[in-house]
Amino acid sequence: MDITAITIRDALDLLHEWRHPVLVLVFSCAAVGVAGVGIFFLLVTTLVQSYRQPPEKHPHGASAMFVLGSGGHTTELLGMISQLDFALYPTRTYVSFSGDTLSTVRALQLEREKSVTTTSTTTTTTSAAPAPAPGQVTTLALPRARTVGQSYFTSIFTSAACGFECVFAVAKVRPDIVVCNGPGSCVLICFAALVLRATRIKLTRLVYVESIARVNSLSLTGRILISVVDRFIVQWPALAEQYKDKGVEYFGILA
Amino acid sequence: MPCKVLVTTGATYPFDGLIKLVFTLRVLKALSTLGVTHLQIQYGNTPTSRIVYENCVENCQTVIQSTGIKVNGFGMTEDMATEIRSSWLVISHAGTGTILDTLRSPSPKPRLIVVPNPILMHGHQAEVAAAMEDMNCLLYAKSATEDSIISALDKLDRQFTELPEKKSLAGLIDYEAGVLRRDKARVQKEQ
Repeated sequence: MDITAITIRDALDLLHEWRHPVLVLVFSCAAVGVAGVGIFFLLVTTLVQSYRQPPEKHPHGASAMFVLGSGGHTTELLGMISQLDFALYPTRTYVSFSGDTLSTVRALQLEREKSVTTTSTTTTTTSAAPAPAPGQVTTLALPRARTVGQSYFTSIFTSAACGFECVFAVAKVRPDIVVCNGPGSCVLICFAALVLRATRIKLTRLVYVESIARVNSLSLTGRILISVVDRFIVQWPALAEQYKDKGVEYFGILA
Repeated sequence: MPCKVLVTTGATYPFDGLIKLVFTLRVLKALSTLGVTHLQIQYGNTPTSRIVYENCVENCQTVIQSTGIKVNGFGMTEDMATEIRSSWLVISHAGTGTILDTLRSPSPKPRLIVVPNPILMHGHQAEVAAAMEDMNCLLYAKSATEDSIISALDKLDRQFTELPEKKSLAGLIDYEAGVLRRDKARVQKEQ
């Protein structure tokens, strides 16, 4: 008699006695496992599907989240934001990262300038249309994923802390669109937005603009986000040519 | 008529090399033959940069007096845009901010010579300057030496190309956010 026959018979005996604790444990683990894998695939398919859908319509205005990097990144992004019609975006959230108070200050400065210009245009074109609802402007300061010069090992933990904060912040704001242009930490905001998309809480659209400083090669942030965002825009033709099969778009210099 | 030259090292990273390059006999003489009367130096926030600047002025005192150039230095200013606008020539570090501020300033635009910081050479920083020199928008003193600055000063009388107009992303963002009216959205889609 060979060994396999014995073990199979033993197993059948155990099955007969189905309330055996070992079996209960094995079955429950398997059930949880199957459910987990199922949910995971469901989330992934919803996420993949969300890329094929056109953006949701928000005729009454959208909620926008702008991720301000720092220094030059902030300058570039605020320049692009200043061209938006704020009446279309009643809820605006500016995210910056700790240690970068200047970005918040400059965002609020832009808000002040914009509110002056919009009131002046509405007074000149006094129409029957009701004045837009007062904008909800929020500024958020999140912990930094990695400070310049920090070691890669410790940056694992700081990134994790930043990641949680980003997920909470994005889940709370639930923006319709996230616009970012690097560096580093905006990756976590984008991934947090993907969680919203996968769970269908909100179909947040992601737009990434590569900095004008990148002429011949993408930044690390860009290389990570290129397959994640809905629209990826570069500012130099060489980059557009190099990554054209990845759906990169080029319109000219945006700064 | 050339009168004012602005030399700017930026705020983020000290660039004492640029100050030293400008305060050389050859460069000062070349500037003076171009008709420069005022030299504005933005040397940066660090105390060492200030000392470098003061030493340079002291060493070049005789040349400065003989050429009659008025030299004025400051660490950093909030209103760089006004400084740039009132200049005939800007000699700048390779920072994207200053380059764009200069090339986007209202006409008459100052001419621009970009000198890369050799310490930051291995980064991608200077790529913008090189690309914009290819477009004939500015002069790029790639090797950051006296000779390269002199040869750039010789080329200043050429006709520079305007930087292409700033494009707007508003249409794309509006479409993605779903706030566009339908007709505009369709146009965007067809593109």
